[in-house]
Amino acid sequence: MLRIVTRQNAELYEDQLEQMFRLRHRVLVDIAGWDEIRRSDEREIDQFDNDLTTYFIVTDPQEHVVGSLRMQPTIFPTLTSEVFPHICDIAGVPQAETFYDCSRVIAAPEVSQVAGQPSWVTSELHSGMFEFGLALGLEGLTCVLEIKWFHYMKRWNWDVRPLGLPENIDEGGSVAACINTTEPMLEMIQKTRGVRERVIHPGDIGLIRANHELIHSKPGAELAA
Amino acid sequence: MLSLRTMAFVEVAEIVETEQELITAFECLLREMNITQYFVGEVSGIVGTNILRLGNWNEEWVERYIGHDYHYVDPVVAKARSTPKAFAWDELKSEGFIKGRAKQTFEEAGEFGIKAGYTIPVFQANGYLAVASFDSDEGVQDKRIRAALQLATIYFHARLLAFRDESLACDAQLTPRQRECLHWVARGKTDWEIGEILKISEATVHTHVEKAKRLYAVPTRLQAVVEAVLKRELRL
Repeated sequence: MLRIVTRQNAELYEDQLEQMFRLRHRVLVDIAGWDEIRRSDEREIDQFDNDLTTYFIVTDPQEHVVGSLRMQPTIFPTLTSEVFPHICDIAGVPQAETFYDCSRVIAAPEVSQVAGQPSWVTSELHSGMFEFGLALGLEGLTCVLEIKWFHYMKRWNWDVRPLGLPENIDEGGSVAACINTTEPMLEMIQKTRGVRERVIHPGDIGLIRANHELIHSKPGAELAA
Repeated sequence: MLSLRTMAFVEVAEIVETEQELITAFECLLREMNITQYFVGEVSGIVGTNILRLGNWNEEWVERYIGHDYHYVDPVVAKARSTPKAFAWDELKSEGFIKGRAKQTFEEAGEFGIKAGYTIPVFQANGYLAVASFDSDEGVQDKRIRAALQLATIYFHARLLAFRDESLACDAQLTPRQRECLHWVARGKTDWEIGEILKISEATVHTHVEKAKRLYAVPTRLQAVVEAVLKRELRL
């Protein structure tokens, strides 16, 4: 099950958020080896976990958090615009109401099976990304991802384009990209992944829209907050 | 300049209508990077009409390579299996990949003028290993060129496979759950055991497997596994 958590309903999901930060630490630091973000409390959190963040949290039937991602509005600083502008040297970083930055897309190792064949968790997250984009009428989602994920997306026929040349090729490589969130893409993903219905609950769509309105109506006030 | 040229290739790769146009555009980009030889394709020993293998690697060498099953001992393949990261062949020596028959394979490649290679492991959705290897007179040292090659290879490979898939016209596809269940069926697990592994009920497992059988129109579970492997939806 996929839940949307924003600052409006974060209080209700304190437990899931906590589990998510721990899962992120386990996946990104312990397994993927990103030592620079290691924290002694084993919760992976950075400056882009803030009041503007929208989280997607996937839980299994026993209410364990098994996957997550986060979205940031691009009219504010994002991971891509602040940390990776140098790999967006060709197309630049899209910064507008119609783009969100997507980061920390993870799934628990227990549910991931075969390379390049997305698990149900990843499939729900992917479907959710496109549902989110369509709900807000976005042009696209910016993100910085490992080369291999970019490659998978091309193989899955996603409408995704690089924003510049990759970096750190010899260490696996990262590339900045923009994923266009169109209706046919969502249909295709749901069909090929066996996702039968929308993974974001209609009530959560309302929350996403309300939060988006709020963020973009008075950006100055939001920044101050 | 290089990045603009690479982005131009990326755009062209999206719109070309034939495999030949794609290959021409790719080779054109490689020439500008002074890459003299390249190979893109699957390196496993499988033979068949739809196996992706192309490039301008010395033909005699490729034939010998396939004929003698060199992929089993090729240090480049061994390394590519162990990492998703691109690597230059001269790194292999210090990492202990060059020994025994591997050494012999490597030396023979050298006799065909393939020496200072640079290899990018290529991910295939079906789990089969493919590589893109490049060679140039002075070796592929420049970091910018390596980055450009990585991006260009992704587009080249993805589009190539898309052309091939179209010609296969295989629209039967497993859902992720059906694939997971078949993965365990292939390993001799019962519905009950699979249910325990995937934390779903035995009946649900049964339904997934039955649907996979129906998808391929085959009477037994084992045949469903075989079909899935043949259609490259499952890897054993």
